[in-house]
Amino acid sequence: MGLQAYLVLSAVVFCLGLFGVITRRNTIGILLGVELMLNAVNINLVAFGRFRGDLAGLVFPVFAIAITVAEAALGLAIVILLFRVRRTVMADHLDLLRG
Amino acid sequence: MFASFHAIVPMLCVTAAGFAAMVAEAFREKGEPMPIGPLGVVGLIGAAVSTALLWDRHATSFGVVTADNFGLFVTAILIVVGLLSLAISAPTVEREGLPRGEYYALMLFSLAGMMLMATATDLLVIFLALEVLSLAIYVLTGIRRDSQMGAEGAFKYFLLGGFSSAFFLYGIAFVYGLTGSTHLDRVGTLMAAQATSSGPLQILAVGLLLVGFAFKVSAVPFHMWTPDAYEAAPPAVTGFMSTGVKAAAFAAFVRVFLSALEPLIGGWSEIVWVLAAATMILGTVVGVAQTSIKRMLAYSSVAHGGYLLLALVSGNDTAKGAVLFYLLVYAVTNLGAFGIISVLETRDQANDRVTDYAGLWSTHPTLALMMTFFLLSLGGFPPMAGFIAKWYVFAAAIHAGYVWLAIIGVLTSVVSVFFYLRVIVMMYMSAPDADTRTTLPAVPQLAGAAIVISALIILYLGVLPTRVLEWAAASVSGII
Repeated sequence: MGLQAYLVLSAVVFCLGLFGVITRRNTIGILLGVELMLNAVNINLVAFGRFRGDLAGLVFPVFAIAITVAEAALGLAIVILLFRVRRTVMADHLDLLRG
Repeated sequence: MFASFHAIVPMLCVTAAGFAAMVAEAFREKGEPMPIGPLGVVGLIGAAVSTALLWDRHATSFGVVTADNFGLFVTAILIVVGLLSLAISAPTVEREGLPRGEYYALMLFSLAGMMLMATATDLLVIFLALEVLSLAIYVLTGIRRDSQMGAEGAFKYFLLGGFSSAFFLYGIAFVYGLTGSTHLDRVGTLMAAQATSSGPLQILAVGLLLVGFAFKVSAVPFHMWTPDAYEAAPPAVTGFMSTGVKAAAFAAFVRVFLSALEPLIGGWSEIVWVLAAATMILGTVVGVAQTSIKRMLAYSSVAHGGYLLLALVSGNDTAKGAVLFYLLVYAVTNLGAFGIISVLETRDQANDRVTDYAGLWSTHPTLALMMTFFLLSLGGFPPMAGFIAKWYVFAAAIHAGYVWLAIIGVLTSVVSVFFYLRVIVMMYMSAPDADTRTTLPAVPQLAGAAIVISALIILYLGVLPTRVLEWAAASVSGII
């Protein structure tokens, strides 16, 4: 398979994540969408690194994954906080801040 | 071998103070008072001294962090932001019973991330710095753990922040794929060399990076999180994030777009033109309709982002100097204004509606006077510093031939004066409600001192701006 196939795969996964973020009403679903988008980028980085024969491209995803994990942990913590104070995880119930 | 650490010493000082704050909190007996805030001040003074020593030295660490004068100027702005924020935060932390160690540690870590972002010369390091600063800020937004608004604001900010990070990282991936490097100076030359052969991918890469930056500097149409996050966070945090994040993000924005991607300026300048115009107009027009001072200042902050974008699109050296000066003035002014909102807040009442400020002149004359200074400076009235800052930005735009954009800028600043003046009229000409006289709290000394110092700085920069302007202009030469 050529580079192009991987780029298309990553673009498709990215768009799936984007679609999830936009259409999901459940906050956890939205978080999953963001994770999907970030991981699509990792596919892209690894593919570029592999086809350029460049080690740097394989090191970048390690950083990116570390950041993604931190984001996921923080995101879940915020959702738990949200559930504790608001008793809901549905995004369309979050309407205290408006204007 | 230690020479390679020189450029990151300011960040190391702040990070060390952050760790010290965490450790101090961990070993603190329950109820035992411990000066955790002053630890942060010590770290920031260390950062200030090292910044002064690094000036003009052009030190580089590990090939990815360059302490050139541009980065150091922004670092200096961030140190000012940090010191003022710590002073303004102290009464909030006491009043709300916030976890002291965590609050100060997060603020210091976030500052370290901002400094890294301002001096990084590698896209990957810029991304890491962006995440370091953002993750801490998301938590700070929701630091009032029993507040419904706080949790909601933190979630919305986190969600859109993570979303924009994905775009930014995707952009970096494409830049890396196209050039085989993430280092800014190599990216620039390689992108220019292959400008014709890989058109669409290049546009995609630049566009994705632009979306990522636009979210962080809250440019329209990527500004939706701004008013929510600014309203939900404690005002001291809002002051910190509205100024620090903007300074760091604009520093990286200028570095990436005006040096690395400058060869492609024909491709992105029109998009940034539209972004700048939309940001100025929408920030101002929606700001007029706000009844909460926090939301009004949030939209004002969006509009100020537009003026900075206007300087960015102009792209010449005058404009880069104007960005630095504007960031400094905006940071001090906005922190002062949020400092006032912060000291007027009580534990159960935000007191942030415009009507809550009725008659402030008769209850807190000094605060009313200071608030007048800050609002006039935000509106760009002489002799406040905001006037000089706007003057230079518009002059740079006209110099670069963006006359229409400058006209939009001037018109929107005139409109924005309307909503700043509304608060001023409220403070001086309306009688206070019978009950506000008793509910408005007394002003804590430390925060009061920070507010007065901010006011003095903007007066000084408004009356005698030459020296700082010269520094700003001198800092932009030799930027990577």
